[in-house]
Amino acid sequence: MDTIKNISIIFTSIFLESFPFLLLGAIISSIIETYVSNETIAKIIPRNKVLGSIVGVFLGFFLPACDCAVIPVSKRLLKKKVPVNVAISFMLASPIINPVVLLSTYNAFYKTNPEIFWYRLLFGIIISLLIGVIMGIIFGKKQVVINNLSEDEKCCCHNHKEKIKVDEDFKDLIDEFEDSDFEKDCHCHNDKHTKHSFKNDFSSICIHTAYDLFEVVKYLMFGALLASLIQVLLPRSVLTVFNNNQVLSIIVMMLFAYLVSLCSTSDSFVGKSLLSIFSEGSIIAYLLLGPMIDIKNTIVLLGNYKKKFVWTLISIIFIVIFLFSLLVVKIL
Amino acid sequence: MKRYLGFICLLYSTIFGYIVVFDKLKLFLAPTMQIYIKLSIVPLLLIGLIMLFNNKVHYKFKISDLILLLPVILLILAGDGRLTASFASNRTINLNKNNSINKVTNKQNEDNSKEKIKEEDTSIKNNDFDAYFDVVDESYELASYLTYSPKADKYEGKTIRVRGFAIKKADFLPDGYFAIGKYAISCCAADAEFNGFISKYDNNKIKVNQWYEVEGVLRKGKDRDKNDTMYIEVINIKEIDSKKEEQYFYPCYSYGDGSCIELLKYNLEY
Repeated sequence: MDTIKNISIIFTSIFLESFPFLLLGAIISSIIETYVSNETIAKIIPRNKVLGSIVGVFLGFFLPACDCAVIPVSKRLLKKKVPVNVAISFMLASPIINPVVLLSTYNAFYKTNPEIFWYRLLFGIIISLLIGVIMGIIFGKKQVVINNLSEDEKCCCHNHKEKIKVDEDFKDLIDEFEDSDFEKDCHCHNDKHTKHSFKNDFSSICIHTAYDLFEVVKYLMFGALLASLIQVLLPRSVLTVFNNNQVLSIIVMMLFAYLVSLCSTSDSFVGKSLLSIFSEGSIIAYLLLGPMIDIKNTIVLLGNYKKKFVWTLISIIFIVIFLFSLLVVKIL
Repeated sequence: MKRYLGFICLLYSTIFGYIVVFDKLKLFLAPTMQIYIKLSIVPLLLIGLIMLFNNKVHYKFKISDLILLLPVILLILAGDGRLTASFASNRTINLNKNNSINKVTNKQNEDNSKEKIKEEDTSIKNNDFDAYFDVVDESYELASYLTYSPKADKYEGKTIRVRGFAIKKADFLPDGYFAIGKYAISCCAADAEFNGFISKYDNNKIKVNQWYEVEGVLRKGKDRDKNDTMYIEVINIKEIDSKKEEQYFYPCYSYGDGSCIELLKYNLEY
């Protein structure tokens, strides 16, 4: 009974910790859906993959939330035909470089191990850019988002697939998307043919929020349950078996970050408690990987994105972070 | 069932309201994280009402949507919301050594005069037992200090009072000893780490997971790996009601400026 009780407590705590950020992400996603047109996005986002990814990282800085909140937002961006490289750079960078996480990393490490703070910040940005560009090259024109909702559910306002009117300057870019196998989603009030009114917009935002939120929360349940089982049943002592080998300890800490699924706002403090038994390189691997991907988010991603896309993303994240952590070991 | 999501929104906002009003939120989240649940109640309520009464909602219920009821079931199974000792035994106990107490604390300590310490000594005296270290939540990191600091042995012979729950199985615990401690959390119960004081008493009389108030004297000893450490030689021990005790404490580095006010008065050396 103790085990069931502990699993229930850990699950509830992960749920309570994640839910407000998912709600925030869903609200932001719905506001984007309601007020930001594909045309505007085409104007704002640079076509160059590197510049686009830099914009993605820059946007990530302004979303003060953990890794849970970015999934609905990045999904909405992809549905809005934001290039894959931008959405991925945003999704990976935001949980590491947003002000809340930077502050907690600063508090945990800056006084005693400032290099860990700087490596997390700098490598977080560089890795997000790099993986964004790689994913952009691989999946540039492919549809990567799964639409779980039926046609009726997709649109709270009206479901139509009219060709979007765009300025000539941006026609090429839109055509590029139209030619791709992106699904032509319905769109709401952002296409200038429906009058904005507070009542319409508010109810539209609320309905979109509910759909976006629970599409993600459903998968969060499985992820949080799995993470709780691992937290309660996996003895931490197994970690220490490999802590004498630099390379193995990096792999172990990456797996640890992946399995325990801690929030990026709190993982610094757990990382600090492990600093005495693991090298700085492996702690940095843990601090970089956890916010970018964990088992909880893998399940959420698998429920919302195509499998090939998710597994490619996870593999690239693991490989790139492993290589960067080896670099840290060399430097330190 | 097209109103299912509206029902779930209202259910969640009701649950959040319940755990806030009945002060159960602290069992799952650190104080810094509690505000977000409080802030989500009203938006969730509004979304729920619109999902229930707006005609534009065309949601089609699927069997998999029943998973959204899982938090309610697990909240019931969580019982009193207190993690048991078996969770502590499964984790690496805080092996922070000197890092666990921030250097800012150390620096600030240097400014404290000995006269001030003497004043503080008298202020922490108790009628029944003169506890030099009276461990309250904010000074709970003494557990790491006394266990791992090489300079902690200067406190040999000092008296100490601690309240917490007992465990007998931990990485650092020598055979025949128990640890009395609490969970430290910085965000939520998922990142809980046990911090405890090694204590010596008749282990047969100690019940795992039971909350105790322990009074004793600090002695030099060895931990499981034969490293020097301090332990509490128990003089008085009594069972206490866990429901009246705070389950968690919050590490110094989660206070923002890295200092623990309660620790300053002990003028610890590192």
